Amino acid sequence: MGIKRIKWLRFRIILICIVFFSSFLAIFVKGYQLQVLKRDELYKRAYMQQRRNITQQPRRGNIYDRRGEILATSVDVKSIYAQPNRINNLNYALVNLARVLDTDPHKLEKSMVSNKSFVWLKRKVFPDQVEKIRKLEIKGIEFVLEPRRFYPNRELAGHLLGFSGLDSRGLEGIELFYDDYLKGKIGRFVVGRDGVGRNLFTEKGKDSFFDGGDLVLTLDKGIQYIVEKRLKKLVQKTRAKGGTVIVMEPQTGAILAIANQPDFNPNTFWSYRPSNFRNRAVTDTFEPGSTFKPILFAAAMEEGIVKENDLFFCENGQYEYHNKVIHDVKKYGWLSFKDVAKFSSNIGATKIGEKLGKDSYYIYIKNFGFGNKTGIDLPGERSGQVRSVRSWSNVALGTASFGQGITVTALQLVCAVSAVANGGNLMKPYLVKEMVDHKGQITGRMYPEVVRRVISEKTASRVVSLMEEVVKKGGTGSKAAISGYRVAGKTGTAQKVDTATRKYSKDKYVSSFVGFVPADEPRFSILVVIDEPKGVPYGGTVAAPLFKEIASEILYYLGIPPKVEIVKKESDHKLYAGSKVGRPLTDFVFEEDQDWNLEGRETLFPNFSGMTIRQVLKVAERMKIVIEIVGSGRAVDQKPKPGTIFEAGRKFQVKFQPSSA
Amino acid sequence: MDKQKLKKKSIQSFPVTFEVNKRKTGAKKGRIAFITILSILMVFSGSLLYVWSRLRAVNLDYEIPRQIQLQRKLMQLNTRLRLEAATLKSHERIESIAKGDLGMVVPKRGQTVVIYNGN
Repeated sequence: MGIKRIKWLRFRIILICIVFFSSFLAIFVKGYQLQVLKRDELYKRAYMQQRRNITQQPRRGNIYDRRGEILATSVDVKSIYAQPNRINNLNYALVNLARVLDTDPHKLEKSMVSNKSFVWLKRKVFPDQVEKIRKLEIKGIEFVLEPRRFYPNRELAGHLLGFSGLDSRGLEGIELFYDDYLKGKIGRFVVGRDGVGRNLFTEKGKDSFFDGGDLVLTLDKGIQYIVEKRLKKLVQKTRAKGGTVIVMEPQTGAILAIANQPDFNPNTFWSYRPSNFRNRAVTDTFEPGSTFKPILFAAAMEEGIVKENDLFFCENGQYEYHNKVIHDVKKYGWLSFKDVAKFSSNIGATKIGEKLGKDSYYIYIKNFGFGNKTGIDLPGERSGQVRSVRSWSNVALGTASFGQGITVTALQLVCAVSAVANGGNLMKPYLVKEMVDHKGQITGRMYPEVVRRVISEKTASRVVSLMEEVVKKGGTGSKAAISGYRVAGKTGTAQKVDTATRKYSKDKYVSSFVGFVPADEPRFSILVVIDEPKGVPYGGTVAAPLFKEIASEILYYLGIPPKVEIVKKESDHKLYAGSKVGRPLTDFVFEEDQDWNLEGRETLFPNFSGMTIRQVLKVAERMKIVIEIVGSGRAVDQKPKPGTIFEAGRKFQVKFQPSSA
Repeated sequence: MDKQKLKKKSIQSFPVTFEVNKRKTGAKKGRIAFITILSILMVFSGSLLYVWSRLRAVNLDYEIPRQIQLQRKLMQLNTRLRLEAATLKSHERIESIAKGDLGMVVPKRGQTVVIYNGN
C-alpha cells in the first residue's frame, strides 16, 4: 500500500515536471519564434501600431506696418474632404453638399464616383459652411485644419503685400519676395500612441520644425490709407487708365506708402484679373516728361554751366531742333533759368541740355539711378530704358532734357528726387524694416543705405529753391502749394507712345507731379503718376492737386505743424512787448502774420485774461512755450503775472473758469 | 609545554567565551535582520519610486500633448481675436463710422492747435 502511494506520488511529480517542462519548452519555442525568427516583422508591426506620423504645418509669419498694425496674418480654418467609399447615400450627399458649398452637383459627382479614397471638396472654407455641413451628418465627410491667409485691411497695400496661395506659398508682392522667411519649415515627426489611439508626447524630429518669421514694414497704414483713398477718387474722377502714388522718406529711403490703381483685394485675389496684381510702381516704366527736369537742373548746376539768373531764349514756343520741332505749352521769349524751371519750358530745358552736353548728362542720369534697378525688396522690378549715350541720336539729348525718349519706373523717379531733397545722396529704397523670427527675436534689421552721392549739398539746395518756384504763384505746380508749408515740386505731362502707330499719341498722356514737403526740412517725398487721364491732361491740373491733398493730410496725420511766414516789422517788438501787455485780451483776434516767436528777445509776458483755451494755445504755439492749462472756460488767472519779463525755461500756468461760474 | 598550557587555559575559559559569543551572535542576528528589513524596504521603496516615476512619465506623456493642444487652441483664439481687432481698426471702417454714423468732419485749418512740446 505504502509503496503504491509512493509510486503514485512519484508519478504525479514526474507528470507535473513533464507538464512544466513541456510548458516552458513551448514558451521558449514560442519566445524564440517571436523574439528571434519573427522579430523584424513583429517589431515593424508594433511600431506601426504604437506610432503615428504627424505632419505639422508651420504658421506663416505675420506682416506688420511700422506701428505694429497687422497687415497679414494666418488663422487655421477647416478644409472639407470626402472618403467616397464611406458615403452611404451618395445622392443625398451630393445634393446637400452642392447646395451648401455653392458648387455644381455634377462636378461633385464626377470627383466622388472616382476610385479615389480621398477627395477635396473645398479647402479653407468659412466657419458657417463648416457648421452647415456638420449638421448634415453625412458619413465619410471629414474636416481638417489648414492655415488660411487673411488681410484685415482688404485692398489696403494689396500690391505691396501680394498674397499666398492654397498651399500657403507666396505668389505676389512681399509674400513672394520673403516667402522663404515667412513660410517656416514643415514638421514631419512620429508620436507615440496608446491602445485607444491617444497621442503620447515625443520630441523626436521636432528640431527641424519651426514657424515662419514675422516682417515689420516701413509702410505706415495711416499714410497708405490716405494715399489709396485719394488716388482711387482721382482715377475715378478723371476716368484714367490707372495711377500710382509713392510716399518715401527722403532721408532714409524707407517707403511709407505705395498705392496703385486699379487695385484688388488679396483675400479674394482669384476674382480679379491678373493685370490688377501688377505693382505699377516697380513693374511699369513710362516716359516721365518734365518731372525729369530736376535731374537736368541738378546736373547743369553741379557742372557750373548755369546760374539761376542766366537767360535762355525760348523761341516763342516753337524751336526747330535737328529737323524736329520742340514745343512749349505757352509761348515764352527770354526766360531766366529759374523761370525755365517755374514755367517748365521744354525749349529752355533743351538749350540747357545742349549746354551741358550728352556725355555729361548721361553720367548724371545713370548716377541718379535711372536704367538700373533700385534693389527694392519687391518682386518684378524693372530697370527702365536709358540707351547708351553712343546710340543717342542728335535729337535724343533734346528730348531727354525734358524727360522724353527714356523710360523710368515711378520708384526710380521718387528716389532721384528724394536725393535732391536730402542734400544729394541717392538712397536705396526699402520696405522691410525688421525681421522677427518665431521665437520673437529680431534676426534682421534694415538700415538706410546710401547708394552714392550724386550732387553736392549746395547744388541740392539750389535745385530745391528752383522746385519751390514751381509751386509758387504762377508756376506750373501752384496747385500743389500748401498754406503754411514750404513745398518743392515739379509737374510733368508726358506724351505716351501709341503702340499701333509707334509714334507719340496726341491724346494719351501721363500726368505726374513729384515733390517733397517741408522743402527746408523734407519729411516725405511724394510722386503722383496718373496714366491717361481724360480731359485736361496737365500734371499741374491733374497730379498737383492730388499731391496737395495727400501731403496736407499726411502733414496733419504726422502732426507736422505749419510754419507761418514771419513778417518782419519794425513795430513788431514794441507791439508785442507793449500794447498787448497789461491789456486784457478779451477781444483777441489771432493774427496769422504776427510774429509771436520770442526767441532771442527780451520781452514781457502777455495778459491772457478772458481768452479761451484755444486762443491761449495758439499764442503758446507761436511763442514756442509750454503752458499748463488748469480748468476750462475763459482765462481768469495766470502765472507769471502779465508784464513779467519772459524767461525761457520758466513754467507757465493759466487758470480757466467757465463764463457762467 | 607551552601548547599544553594554552590548551588548559582555553578549556578553562570556555564557558566565558561561549557566553560572549552568544551575545555577539544575537547582536549579529539583529543587525542582519535590520539590514535585511532595510534592504527589503529600500528595494520596495525603490521599486515604488521607480513605478511612481514611470507612472508619472506616462501621465506626463498624456498631459503634454493635451497642454500642447490647449496652447495651440489658445494661440489660434489669440490670432483670431487679433485679426478681428485689426479688422475693426481698419481706417476705412473707422472713417465710415465717424463720418456716417457720428457725423464727424475733418477739422479745418485753424481748428487745430499744435502744442509746442518744448523740444
